[in-house]
Order: sequence, then structure tokens, then C-alpha cells
Amino acid sequence: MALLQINNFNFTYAGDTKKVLSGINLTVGQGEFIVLCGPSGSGKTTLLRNIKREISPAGIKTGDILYKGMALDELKAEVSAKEIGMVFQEPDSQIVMDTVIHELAFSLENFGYAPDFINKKLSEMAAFFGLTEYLHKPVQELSGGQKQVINICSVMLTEPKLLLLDEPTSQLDPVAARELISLIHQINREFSVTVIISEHRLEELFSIADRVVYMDGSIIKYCNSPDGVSKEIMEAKDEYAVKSIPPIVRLFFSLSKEKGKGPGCGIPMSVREGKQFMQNIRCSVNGLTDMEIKKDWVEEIINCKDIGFRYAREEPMVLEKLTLKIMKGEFMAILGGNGSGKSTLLLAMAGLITPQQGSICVRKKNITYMKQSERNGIIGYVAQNPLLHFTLDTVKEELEFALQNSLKTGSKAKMEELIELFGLKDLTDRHPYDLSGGQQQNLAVACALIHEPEILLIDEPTKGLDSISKEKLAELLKSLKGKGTSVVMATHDIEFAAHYAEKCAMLFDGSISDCAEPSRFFSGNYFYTTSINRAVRDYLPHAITYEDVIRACL
Amino acid sequence: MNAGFSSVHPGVCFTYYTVIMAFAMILYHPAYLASMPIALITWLLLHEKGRSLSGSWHYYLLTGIAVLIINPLINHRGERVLFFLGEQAVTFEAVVYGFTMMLSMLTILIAFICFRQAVDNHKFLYLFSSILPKTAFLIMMSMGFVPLLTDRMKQISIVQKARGLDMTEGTAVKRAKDGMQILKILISWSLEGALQTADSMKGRGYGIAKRSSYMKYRIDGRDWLIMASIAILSAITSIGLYFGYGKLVIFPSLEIISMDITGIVFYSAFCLLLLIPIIVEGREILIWHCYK
Repeated sequence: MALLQINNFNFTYAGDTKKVLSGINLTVGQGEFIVLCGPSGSGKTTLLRNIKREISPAGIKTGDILYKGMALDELKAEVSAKEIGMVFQEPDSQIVMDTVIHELAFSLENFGYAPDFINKKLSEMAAFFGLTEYLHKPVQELSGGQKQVINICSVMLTEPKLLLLDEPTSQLDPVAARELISLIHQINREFSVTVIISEHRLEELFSIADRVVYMDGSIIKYCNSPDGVSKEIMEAKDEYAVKSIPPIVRLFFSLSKEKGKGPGCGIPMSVREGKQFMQNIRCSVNGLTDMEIKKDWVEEIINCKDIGFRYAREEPMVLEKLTLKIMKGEFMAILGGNGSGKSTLLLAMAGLITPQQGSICVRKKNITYMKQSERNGIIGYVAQNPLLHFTLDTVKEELEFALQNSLKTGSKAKMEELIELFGLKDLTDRHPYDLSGGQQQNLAVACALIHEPEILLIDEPTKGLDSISKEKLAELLKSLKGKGTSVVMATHDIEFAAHYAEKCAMLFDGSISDCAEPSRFFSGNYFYTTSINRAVRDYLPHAITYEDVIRACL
Repeated sequence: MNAGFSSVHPGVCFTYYTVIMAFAMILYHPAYLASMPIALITWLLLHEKGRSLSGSWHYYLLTGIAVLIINPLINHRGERVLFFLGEQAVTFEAVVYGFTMMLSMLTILIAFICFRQAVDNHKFLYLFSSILPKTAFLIMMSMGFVPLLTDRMKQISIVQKARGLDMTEGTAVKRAKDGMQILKILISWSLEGALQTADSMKGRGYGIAKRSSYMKYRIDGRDWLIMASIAILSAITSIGLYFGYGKLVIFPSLEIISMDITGIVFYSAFCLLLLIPIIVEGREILIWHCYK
């Protein structure tokens, strides 16, 4: 008997007329690992929430969802809460208590278990999840990745049969995300817990998933094994869906189709398999050496010289003797691990915090001594969480407020142009909090650009975006560059930086450890590089993106 | 920190400091009163090198001195007049009374500090979770939010500077206005998060059954021993109090401060009571010393 059976399920949110889920059919067996993917707004979260009865959204439902052959509504409250566990995106807001041990005990306390039993359960689970050394720490002192581990552990304590995860890695850096995914894989294998995970980041998941469910526009468009789904999407030439497939898989299809060879082995899902596949390809390496586009940047715009910064005197240095130059019209990506100081560096360059040592000059003028309004005219800053920027009730007011603050005789025309450019036209009367994550970010960028700055500093712009939104963002940033605006972006997203940045800088131990064009930057790294580069580096050391390899091989 | 007297069961610690504070209010004998703050401070020095006092001791001292000065100024009872301040008589008895008040107040303040050191937030909540489980749970949740909100507040203030909202600059009115705006973001942001918190709580079965409370404090043999000592020693002191030992007649005229043999016996019992935390702490320090 299937663990979960969804029959012709439809869902419309209360007060809305558009179906968010229509005709969903899905059978999930015991112990399966299912990846739910598709663009934002395709109904992934709504589907997951409908499976978890306690938090299922209000609206009109038709069709049924059966758990172990029983309709969800007929399940006992205790069974539903215990056997179906759910973990959400945001690590912080899921946590209820203040220390790790109390957070973990929380779910068991809810079912009224005796303290001795809780103690016993905690001792085994905390050990499995490697949390024993953190047990008495305040939760807020832990990193985002550790918080998600706690959230999963807390859910696992009630021994669920079905684990639902809604983009659990979207707020994490790539290393923490990879760890979390392998932890989820381990749970799936060792406890035979059925996993349904919705994700944008598919590279690691394709190699471990049993099935991939691709949703688009409220329906399930593709549902098959990872191999099968890749094949179906490639054959259907589904332009959007193709972008969400891992680049190695895409490479396989393009090369084996064009060259008519390769299919001897299966579809490569991991770097290792990608390497094996490339052995059979044999492409011309020569094409790539002159690919490095040498540009001569002449005009220097930001000059950070030996800056040192810490948040408090007793705390360690976040930035130390950091020197970095940014040229006019350049698109620079600043990479680095979590907590390496990327955000701090951007804040310093924006003049919002003042380094204790060194100087930051913009156009040869020290930024510390400028007035905020003067800074706004030169530098636009967009924080990682765009919500931090908004205080007003509508998108329009927000833009007008920014316009008032502008020193340049800000023209209404400029505002209209930005509204058009950022696709905010139909949204001007909406509350900023009601926009999607991507739209909120666009609004924040638009507000920054109203001052017509020469530099845009943007922190983690691709966090939580699907591949299509990422591409749109890239287009936008490119069009800014076309107008002579320099862009400095702090990011975890190696693939995005490899594709679009013109220069990459690595922030490590408080200072810049490497700064070069993407092809040189990434090809010099062994691990911190794109999956494509890791797969083809023996044959094409300088190829870092799918397009690079295609160019070299065709 | 979970060592020495703070590793004793929170219920025992709570009883101990309640007893001490009660005695600080009832006792008037200067020997008794003076021993109390000395013993409490000694324990603080042993337990955490007096760190919790180092930043604030002068405030406590100032409060004490204020009591010492104000009491004779407003209290004119007593027989021996020292001098006249305007038309008000400052009496010797009132000065002595002020002195005892000062000691008793300092004792209570320091006992509070000791209590906070011995019983941290969690232990405190544990004490009350059996009486007020919901309140204790709520307080624990709120405590988790404090560092989160402070951190968010910092982030918002930095980013909002770029928009011209700054709580650290401008007139008081502007600063208050900007502060409100920043608070508004914090609240809307946190409310968004609170929805997810609620989902996460419901998802993990909150409200399905009667909640149990998981805490790891067990009463062991040592705790019983300490509890018994507290009970016996404070009983002896109370008996002494009943017969007038530890009291002091100040008004209308100060009696001669003295202590007879029986008085010394009762006083020793009281000193033993004061020494309990120091003995527990000292024993542990000694063990560590030998261990090295």
C-alpha cells in the first residue's frame, strides 16, 4: 500500500478564483525520496502544506489526499502530528525555545511524554545528528545550517514516516546546504523515512532522488526518475524547465545529441559520472585558451585600502587589512564562506559602517566624510533581506520616498522608467510585504537606483530565487552595466558568479585572497568551483560554464 | 556556570536565599547583620571571582549610604541627641537604626545577586513551571526571541541609515520618529516570522495533548543534606530570635550591645547557616586543587 496517495487534487485559496493546484495525482511509496521542483509560484509549497494537515491552508479543496489509505481529515490528531513532519525555509522563525535542548524537547513535551522518556529519546537522536556538544547553547548563537539541523532533529524525534521539507536550504550557503542534503539523504536511508523535498538547488538532489516531480503553473508537468525527467524535459524542449536541470545533465544531452556519441554510459548525475562521460567526448581544448576576455579597466571608482573592521572591541576582526579596487563599469562578485565578512564589506563600501582602520575612497573622496545624501547619489545599497528597506504601505510610496531623498533633481520620468524596467507596473498599489521575494528585491534595487548611483552594491541577490528569476536578475544587472553602473555583488552562488560576473574576489580570513576573471578564478580552485568545471577540468581546465564547454566541443 | 553551590538543586537554592532574605529583614543585631553581606560576598568571590559585583558595587554602596544618611534626617526618635540640623534633632539611635537598615538592605541586594548566580533563567523557570506551566513556557519562548530581535534591530538600523532614518542623529523628535519607523519594520518582519513559528509549533503537535515539561534537575543526596542543614540551622536561629537573640532594642534608647554564652551558641548556628554555600563551594575548589 502506498504511504501517500494524492488523487486528482485541486486547491484554490480562500477568496481567490485561480486554482493553485489542479489535477494533482501522485503516489508515494514507503521510503521514497522525492524531489519537488519547478519555478516559484508553481504550487510546491501549497502542495506540501496540504499534505500536513495541521497547517493546511484555508481554501477550497477537491479530490483527496490519503495517508496509509486514510483521508487526512480522518487521521487521529496525534498520528498526523507525529507521523508527518515538516521543516520550513526560514531557520530562525521555526525555532520556539531558547536553548537547543529545550527546542528538541519541545515536540516530545507536546505529546505529554514523561521526562525520562524524553531524556532517552534525546540522547539517541542528539547523537545521531551530532548535536550533543551544542545541547545547552542558546539557539541564536548557532549558524543557519546548524539551526536547520536542529529543526530536522526536532521533527525526527517523534519518529515520522513522512518528512516534508519546504526549500530547507534556500537560506544557507553552498557548503551548509550540501551538508544538510546529505543529512536528509542519510535519514532517508537509515530510517527509511519517506522524504518529499522542494528545492531550487538540484545538483546534489538529482543524484540521490528516486523521483523528480516538476511542477509548473499549478500542475505536475513531469514526474519520473531523475533520468526520465531529464530526458522528457530535454525532448520537450521546455525552455524554462531546461534551466532547472543540473548543467552536467544538460551538457550530456547537448553533446551526445550533437556529436552522436556518449550515450554509452548513463546520464551523468554527479561530478564523478560527469568525468567518466567526458572521457568519451574528447573535445578540442585549443578553443578555450583565448577565451579570457582581457578588458582594460581604466577608471577606478572604489578604492578600499587596508581596511580593518570589528563589531565590538572584544570581538575578532571581521575585515583585516583588506585592499580592493573596483573599476567603473565592472561587475564584481565577492565570494566567500558564511561569516567571512562579505556583507560587512558591502556595508563598509556603502559607508553605512565605518571601518576602524584604513580608508575607503569613492572617486578619490573618503566615504566616511560624505553626507548620506551625497553617498546615495554615488552608491546604491541593497541588503540581503529586502524587507529591511521598506517602511511604507505601498510600492509607489516607497519609490516616491526614495525620490524625495534624492539629491539629483530626481525626475518622475526616471521613476516610471524604473517601474517599467523592474516589472513593478501592476504592483504599484501593493504592500511591499505582499510581493514575492524576487519582486521585493527588484523594488529595493529600484529604490536604490532612483538616485542614479554609479555603483550598486547588492548582497546575496540570488538567495531563494529559482533559475528563471536568476536569469531575469542577470539581465537587469547587465542592462545596468550597459549604462555604466558598476555592480558589486556578495554571493554564495558559484554558478551565478561564474556565468555573469566579470571579476570574482575571494574573501577569506578578513582579506581578499584572490581576485581575477571568473575563468581564471575558478579554474584555479579545486573544490570551490562550478560543478561543470570539476567534471571537465582534466580536459578543459578553463571551462567553467555549460556554454564554455559547448563552445569548446562543437 | 554549573559548579559549586549553583549545581545544587534550584529548589534548595531558592529556599536558602529566601531564608537569608527573611533573616535580613527580621534580625537587628549588628554581629548578625554584618556577617551576612560578608558571607554572601565571600561566596561570590569564590564562585565567580566577584565579576557580577565588579561593575555595580558602587551603586549598591551608594544606596546603602543614602539609607544611612536619610534615616537620621527624617527619624527623630531616640534619647541621645547628637546635634541639631536647623530645628531637627539628629539622634544617636536614629543613626544606629540607619546603620542596621543599611546592612539589611545591602544583604537583600547582594542575596539577589547571589540568587541570580546560583539559579539561572532556566532553573528559575523550572521552579515555577510546576505552579505556572503556561507562563513559564511563554517566558522561555520570549527569552529565545530577545537575542533574535536585538540582532534584527541592529541590521535594520544600519540599512535604514541609507534611507535617511537614523536614531542616532538629529533632533529628539526626528530621532523618536525614525525610531518608530525602525520599530515598525522590526514588528512587521517579526510578525511574518511569527506566522511560521505558529505553523512550526502546530506541525509538531502543540496543543494536541497536555504538555509535559522536560527538565533535568534531580534532587540527590547532597541536596537533601543541604536542605536539612538549612532547615535545622534556621530553626535554631528562629528559636534564638524567639528568646531575643539577634534582636536589638534601639528605640526609645539603645540597649547595650552584648552577647552572652547562649547568644554565642545561637550566633554560631547562624554563622554555620551562612557558611553553607561557602563550604559547598570550598569543598569543590579543594577537590579540584587536589585533583591537579
